[in-house]
Amino acid sequence: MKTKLALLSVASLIAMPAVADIKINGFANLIGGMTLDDDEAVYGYDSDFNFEPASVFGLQVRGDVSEKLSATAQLVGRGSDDYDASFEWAYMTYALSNNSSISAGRVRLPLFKYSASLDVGYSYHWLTPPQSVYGVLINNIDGVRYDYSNYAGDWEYGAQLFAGRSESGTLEADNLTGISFEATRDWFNIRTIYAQAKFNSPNEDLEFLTNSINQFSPIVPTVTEFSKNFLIEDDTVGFFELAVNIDKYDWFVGAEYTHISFDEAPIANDDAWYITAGMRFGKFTPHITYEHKESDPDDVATYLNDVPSTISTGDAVTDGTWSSLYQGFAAVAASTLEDTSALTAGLRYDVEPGFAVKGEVTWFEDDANDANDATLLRVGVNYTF
Amino acid sequence: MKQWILAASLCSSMAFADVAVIVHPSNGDALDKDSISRLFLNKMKAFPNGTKVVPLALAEGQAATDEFNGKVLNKSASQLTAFWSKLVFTGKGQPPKALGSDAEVVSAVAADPGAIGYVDAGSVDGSVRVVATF
Repeated sequence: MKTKLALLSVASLIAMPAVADIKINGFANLIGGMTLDDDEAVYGYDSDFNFEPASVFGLQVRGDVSEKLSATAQLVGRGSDDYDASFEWAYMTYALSNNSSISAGRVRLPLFKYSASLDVGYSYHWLTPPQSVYGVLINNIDGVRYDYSNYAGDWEYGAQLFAGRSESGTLEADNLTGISFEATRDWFNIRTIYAQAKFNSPNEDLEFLTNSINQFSPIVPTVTEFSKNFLIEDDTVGFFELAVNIDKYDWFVGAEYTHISFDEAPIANDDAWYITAGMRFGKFTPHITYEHKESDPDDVATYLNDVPSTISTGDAVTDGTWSSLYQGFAAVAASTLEDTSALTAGLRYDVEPGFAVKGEVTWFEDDANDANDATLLRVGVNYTF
Repeated sequence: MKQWILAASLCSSMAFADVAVIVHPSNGDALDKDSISRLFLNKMKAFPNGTKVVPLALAEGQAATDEFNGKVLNKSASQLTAFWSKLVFTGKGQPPKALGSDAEVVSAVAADPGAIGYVDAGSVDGSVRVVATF
């Protein structure tokens, strides 16, 4: 039904008689993959060959209402979502000048170097950008974005400012604001962003745990403060990114680093980065990428130290209940700790402009839990028109 | 023998065919390689004289196309497609309209003061002004 409605509104957009200039573009990433061992699973893949986790199809309609005003809608169906099509972007853009524009509606959040073309696999050498860095919950916002671009001498530069809100499952991000900056000179490119938001994410299990342990407030007065920290209520989240790329045409090397910080919550601060390099031999682009994600255990430990792990009231049942509740919170905190890395070797073959075939093998390692280690094999085609 | 020389010169002229960047005769702007590249890649939206630019490309497979993409834009056909896919799917711009032949580009540029195009240097006539050859 959602699909039908969406298609209908695309159709009505196409049929809009007042719009002089309608452009339709599309992209398709059909990506299949499997892990090499029966008991291995990573990034949504297991040992059965599967197209769902990363395949994406999209259709974009853009109408130029006037020379300065345009409307863009992007309908996207993801394999991970059962190809249920939904409008991921729908916005209007007004060109304020030759250098600046303002867009309002549902727009892409420019968190990463490849954010703008995240779903257009054809625009980068990988099948998907490195998960350690790009695996965030929020990529679009409902709000406004201001884009500025210009050049000075040999340099081209641009900035984006944005404000809005977003929802993803039970997660709500409000007061989301940020600024990004990018500069390019010939083969050199650098970009950075800082963004922040207030996160809310109601969780029944956590609320139950909180209510239970709060019964101990007569014995442990700090417990209400301790348990409150665990709830994601108006918690400030900060996001910083820095990317540097060198592209000498015959070869390229790039790196991207992100830091995510959670204030007022025992969710570990994350550092993630990757470094990638490749060579272009005509239609062949062999490449290699190393990625790493690690969270800071100290960040979690300080919250756990707010209350004692054991109490001695003289009543064994009371003491035991406290211990098990405390261990429950410790387990929640520990579950936010990550220490993973992956090495990916791949090959891109450009069949013709707009059509590429790719193959990749990824060795994934989880230093927090070796049982999650896996080797992933993926092949795919990217098409754009 | 004469035919031989003719054939040889034809071959060499094909191998070393220059690409001419052309504008409307009323457009007196001097443009260097960087400016031309920016005008074609949606980075510069108007000529230095202030006229809004309408870049015109040649279709895939035309002799001057790869020449221009490689020498002026420093991009292979695949890279250029990837470049445009980024702009298209962020709503930031559309690739230039691609015309089927040199003659079509010349007549389109001759008819539009804001146009800029590229053709094989041998296809240029008096109806357009050549700003640069590569």
